[in-house]
Amino acid sequence: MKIGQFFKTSDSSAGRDTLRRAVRATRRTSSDAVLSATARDRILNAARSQAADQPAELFPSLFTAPRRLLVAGALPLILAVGLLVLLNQPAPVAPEPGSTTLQVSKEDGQVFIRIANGSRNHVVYRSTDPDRFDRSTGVKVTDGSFTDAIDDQASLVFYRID
Amino acid sequence: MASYSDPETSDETLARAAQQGEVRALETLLDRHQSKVLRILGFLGVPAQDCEDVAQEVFVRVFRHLKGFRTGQSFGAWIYRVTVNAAHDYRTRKGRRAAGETGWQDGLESAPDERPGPAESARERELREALGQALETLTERERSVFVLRELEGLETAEVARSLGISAITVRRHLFRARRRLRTILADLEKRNPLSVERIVPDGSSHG
Repeated sequence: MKIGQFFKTSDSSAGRDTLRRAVRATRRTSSDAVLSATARDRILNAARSQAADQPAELFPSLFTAPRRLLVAGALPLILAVGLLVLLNQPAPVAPEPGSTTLQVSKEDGQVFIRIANGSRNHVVYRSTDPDRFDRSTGVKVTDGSFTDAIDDQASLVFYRID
Repeated sequence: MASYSDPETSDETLARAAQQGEVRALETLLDRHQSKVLRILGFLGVPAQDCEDVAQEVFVRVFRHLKGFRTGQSFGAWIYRVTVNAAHDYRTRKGRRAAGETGWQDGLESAPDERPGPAESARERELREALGQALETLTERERSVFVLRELEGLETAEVARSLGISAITVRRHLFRARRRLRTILADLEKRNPLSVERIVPDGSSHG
């Protein structure tokens, strides 16, 4: 056996052996210490106060595991149903195409006309003859409402709304 | 009804009872695991004077998170993990580094009174101190693995469960830890020979 190899083998064997003995000695003589009474009381008091701070639930939590699964599974269904309901509802506010709602009132020497037909842009013509409207006198309306001064000279006035 | 003081009652049964607020179950868990926790904290480098404080942290954490303990989990593995983490947190707080800081051997001065004879005791003390010095040179993970596997005697699978790593990783860390410790102990022995048998080429042994 070569000397260098001998020493290397001897060292690793000695190291392994020493480690084994050290582990055995440590395991054999390791302490079975216990907590002091003070420490033990502190731990148990902390555990009790944690339990006391969490009062019993009057109503079961929504978020217990089975309920979580149920809610998670139901959510897509709920969303789908909600979407169907929304899609099937009629569009709010706007009248049906082709129908017009007019609100007309008179106040302080003026006539107020509110036009609702789904559009806010109109041209309003005024005439005392229902069969004759002068296009050059048309008034553009952009907010769905029209205001006109009362004509003292005429007893009847006609309005055409385009 | 389960008897909480019955040694046959499993940790898992006690943990479930403790989840329901059964204080006797808590006390039994504490009694069962306190020595182990204190011992491991000592092995992992927490000085004796701080072991009790850190052990309190361990148990408070365990009991605080008891509601998250699930059926099928190993309570033992869980408490090992909390202990290792608490030791790591302690060392991080104290800013300790691997070499040169030993609090470990301090913990062993409170060893129980079962005494071997004086000669053996001195040798064992030497060996323990040498191992304590050597453990300080390991990484946190190598040290945890070595302590749980070699000093606590856990199986590889249980060490893996306790530390949240694979069995292969446990074996790798253990291999490195043993190799490092053997080298250090051999060097220490050269500089300050311990009473260890040496094998010489002719097959005889010398003390």
